[in-house]
Amino acid sequence: MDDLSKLCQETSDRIMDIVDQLQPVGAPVVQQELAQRHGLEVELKQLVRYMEWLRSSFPRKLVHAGPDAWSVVDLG
Amino acid sequence: MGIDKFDGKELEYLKEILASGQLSGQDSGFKGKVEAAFAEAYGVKHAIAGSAAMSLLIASMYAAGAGAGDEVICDPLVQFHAISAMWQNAHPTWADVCPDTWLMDPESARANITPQTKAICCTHLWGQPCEVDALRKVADDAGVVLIEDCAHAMFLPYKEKYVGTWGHIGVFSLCQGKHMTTGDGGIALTDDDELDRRIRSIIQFGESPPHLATVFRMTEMTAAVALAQLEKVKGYIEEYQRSYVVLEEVVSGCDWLQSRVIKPDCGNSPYIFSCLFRGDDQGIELEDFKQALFDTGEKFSIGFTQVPAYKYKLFTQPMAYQNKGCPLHNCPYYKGDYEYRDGLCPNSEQLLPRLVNVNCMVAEEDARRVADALRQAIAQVEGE
Repeated sequence: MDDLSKLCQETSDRIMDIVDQLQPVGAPVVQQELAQRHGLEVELKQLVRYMEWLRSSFPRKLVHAGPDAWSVVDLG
Repeated sequence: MGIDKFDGKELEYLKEILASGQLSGQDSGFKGKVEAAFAEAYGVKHAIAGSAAMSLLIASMYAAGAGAGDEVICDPLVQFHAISAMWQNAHPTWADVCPDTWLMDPESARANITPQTKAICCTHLWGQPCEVDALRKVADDAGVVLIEDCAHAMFLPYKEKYVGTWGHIGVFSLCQGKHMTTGDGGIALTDDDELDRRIRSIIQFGESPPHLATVFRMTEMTAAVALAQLEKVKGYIEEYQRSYVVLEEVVSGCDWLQSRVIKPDCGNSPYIFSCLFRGDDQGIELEDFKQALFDTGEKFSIGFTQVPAYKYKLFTQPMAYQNKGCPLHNCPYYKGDYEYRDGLCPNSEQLLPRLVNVNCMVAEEDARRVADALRQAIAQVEGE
């Protein structure tokens, strides 16, 4: 499994790009897309924690779009 | 997520509804019972049960008379009021918050009153009360409606009574993750017969409504869970108050994290625990603290919405109305000249990117674990 225990700009961008294209989208779909597009195999629990943290990102940030539904806003 | 448990009368009530075959629209059923229970608990004349706080905010904007060409003064730290105003084609304007409490500044609200203003909507953000008596005076002086957004403020005292009863309308949320939850749901309170009638007139209808109504009423199942949870919610809040103290102890011991001020006569119904990062003055980088918080594995966040609502494209660009402009852009009904410019609410702009937040609706033992994580992150960046 790939490790998401550290914040990484490349990984953050990949996640936000996926959410941007598929929004509103759930974390399990993001998990599948990370595997298919980038070969990243990540635990769902770790991915959700990482996505929660991307709510603190700027200028692009993830936002909740409902229980386990995510969107992106671009504040740039 | 809170400590909510659904092991009381919820199932008994739900079985009763299913046996009756009447699942919605029953003023004589659980919807009526939960409305009466809220009205009694808050000492108000009317409680209105809706599908969500958002739907009741939209209805409240209508009740306040807000429509095309009108303005509604909103809180820039959240976006719910502004979106509700836009559902009535009204134009959101913004009052700044106080730098120590992060709650709407009554004088800023007063400065935003114009001939177009129909309502002021304040938020009791994350469980702490606005100066809602001063805001009520601003509203009364201007002849506009004060709507209290109490989504984070269940049974929150301000002076001699609860918030939600100081304004003309108080709107509470029962959505997932609030002090008490029914999944989705909301309650509006008012002492005003006409406001009650106007809200009710657009949250339900049959085949042909007299106004532009929709179905925003609460179902019987939701009302049943709400009635059962109402009996328990004060117990939850007492636990969250103990958790708040545990977290506050850490912040008060750190000279570069600023505690949020709770003024005299103000209660606290903890929802999100929040403090302000002031490490720049001492050579501590926000990015380092961010990584240290992430490393703890706890669910901290920094910056909340990062920028005030009026900087979001939903408001700055005409996208909200299929790119057709109205009501925010080139609206022929709008006679004001309000601009969504940088520096509109300087306190909000300075506060938002530096807010350090964590869920406070946890059991005290969980709060101790989170507090230890916060200490660990502080020690990590101070040691670097």
